[in-house]
Amino acid sequence: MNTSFKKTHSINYMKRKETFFIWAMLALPLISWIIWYWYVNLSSILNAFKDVDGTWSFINFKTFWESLTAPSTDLGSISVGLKNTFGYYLQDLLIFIPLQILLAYFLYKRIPGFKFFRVIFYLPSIISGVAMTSVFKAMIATDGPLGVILESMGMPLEHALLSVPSTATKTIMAYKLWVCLASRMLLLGGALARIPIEVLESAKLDGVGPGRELINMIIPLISSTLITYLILGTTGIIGASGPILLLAPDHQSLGTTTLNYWIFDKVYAKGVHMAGQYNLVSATGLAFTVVLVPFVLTVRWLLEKIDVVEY
Amino acid sequence: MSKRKKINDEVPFILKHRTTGEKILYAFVFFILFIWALTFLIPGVWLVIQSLHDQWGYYVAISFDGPFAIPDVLHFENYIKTFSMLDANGVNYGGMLLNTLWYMVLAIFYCPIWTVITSYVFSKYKFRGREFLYALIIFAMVIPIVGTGGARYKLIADLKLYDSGPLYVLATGIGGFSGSFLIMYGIFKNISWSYAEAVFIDGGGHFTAFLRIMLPQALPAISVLLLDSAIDLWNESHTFIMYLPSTPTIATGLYYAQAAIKRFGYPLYYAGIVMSIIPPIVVFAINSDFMMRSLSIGGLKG
Repeated sequence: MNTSFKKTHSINYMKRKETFFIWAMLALPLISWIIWYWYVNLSSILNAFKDVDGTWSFINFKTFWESLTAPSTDLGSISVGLKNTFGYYLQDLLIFIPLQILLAYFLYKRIPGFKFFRVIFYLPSIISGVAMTSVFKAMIATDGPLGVILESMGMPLEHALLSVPSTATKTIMAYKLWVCLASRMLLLGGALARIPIEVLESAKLDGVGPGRELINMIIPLISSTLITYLILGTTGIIGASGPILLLAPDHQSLGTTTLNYWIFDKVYAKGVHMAGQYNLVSATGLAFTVVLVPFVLTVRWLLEKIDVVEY
Repeated sequence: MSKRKKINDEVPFILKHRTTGEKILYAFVFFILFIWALTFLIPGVWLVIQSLHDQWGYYVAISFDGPFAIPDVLHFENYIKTFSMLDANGVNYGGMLLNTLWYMVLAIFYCPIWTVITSYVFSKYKFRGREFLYALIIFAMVIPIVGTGGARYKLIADLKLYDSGPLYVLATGIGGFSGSFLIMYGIFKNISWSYAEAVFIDGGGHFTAFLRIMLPQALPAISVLLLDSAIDLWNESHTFIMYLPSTPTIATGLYYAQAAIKRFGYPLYYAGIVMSIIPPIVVFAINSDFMMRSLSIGGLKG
């Protein structure tokens, strides 16, 4: 009995120590999470229904609706932001992901110079956006290398590409295309590195060419990684944007805004402390969240139905 | 055995053999990628050339001699002058460097540890409320709640954290449930619990098991994440533009400096950019193999 008591006591003691350890470790992160995630989200929802003075009101939703339904001539409106946001999202989905898969595939196949390319194309990930965009702006300036080359070809740039609405957003998209190979390179490379080499060996023995190998073998084998990207991409659809602040921040006259940048602009208020339209931002965010959540969950549900190859 | 030979030996002969069609395809891809790579290298050369002009020479070059004109005299002193003359919000380049360093040190050694802790506890312990909390974490990651920036900004102002320097990082840097939580969770999940049990048998406690046994085993993968985040932190500008305007880092300072570029001249600005990109490139050049291999081996599993 004494032994049993000791044992019980010992197990209880160990359990208490374990419980103490768990909550000692989790206490601060949980408190921080409650403040910076849950409290912020909850107060954001409540703020959406308050006017500037803190009185309950639907004024923010009215302003949001007016901006959403504003004529397309209002270049700083949410409607323009929505159109640009979808443009960036589709660019990522239809152009960047396929390009990134192709690059990862050829690097994996060790094309000549693969180590050199791997480092060069990763550079935009390790160089600050401020530096990259500064150089890009100088490169495409009317008196920069691009301007000089086009002039020598008899097609001079009539104006800076980032200075007029007709080309500003397209130029930002071109910038994103230029640097797009860097993102996802590490993780796609990692997914490819996990493919059992015997699978590729036997395919090679069967005379499978690069096209079939990529489409029928590689893509299904890295499908879990690709599905993760698609889910994350859809989850972050409202965040789809470009470096607007660094390339063409004057969105009111250039029509470069996205939803993400519109929100940033309203909070930042040109750097004037506490001058932002915080409640309008909350209302806008809430409206898009209500629309977006069912969409994201549906896409996620559909993607999870795809059979993933396990190995 | 040489490194090249070792790498070649890892690839079976059959995969190294290429048909004529494959050779043509790979040559074509090489050509495309080489051109693409040149679009990164040429601006790099251009940037260095511009940083070595004097202000007058810069304008003469872009107006008459072309963008790639090399100056007659190379003004390396621009790199020294940048430290005192290039400034933003009253902070010179040296001050920006100091701001970048304190921010990096604090953020590297303080912020990621919380994710390591939470992912370790969630992957290795079963406790009351675990399933509920885990579901909440995943919910927070998957459900895209947008537009909370205003509420966050107000809270930061209410808590007197706006423009508060290191205090801001200390107060907001306790994370634990961000995107890297799942990566770290996978890493710890793959480490056998029997190591910890051996510690308990020897009389050690949970803290000992975590600090002496489990953490060192996860260290290679954690190091990759730290290196990656160190590079991100060096380049971070959004936090400082938004919440810490009086303590610009190099990236933020260069952003602010664009508005006043004519005051100190383009060559100094470009010298500032060159100096800002050297450290991350050096870090990456030294660790590129380690980063790419470690993440592919450990980070994605599970």
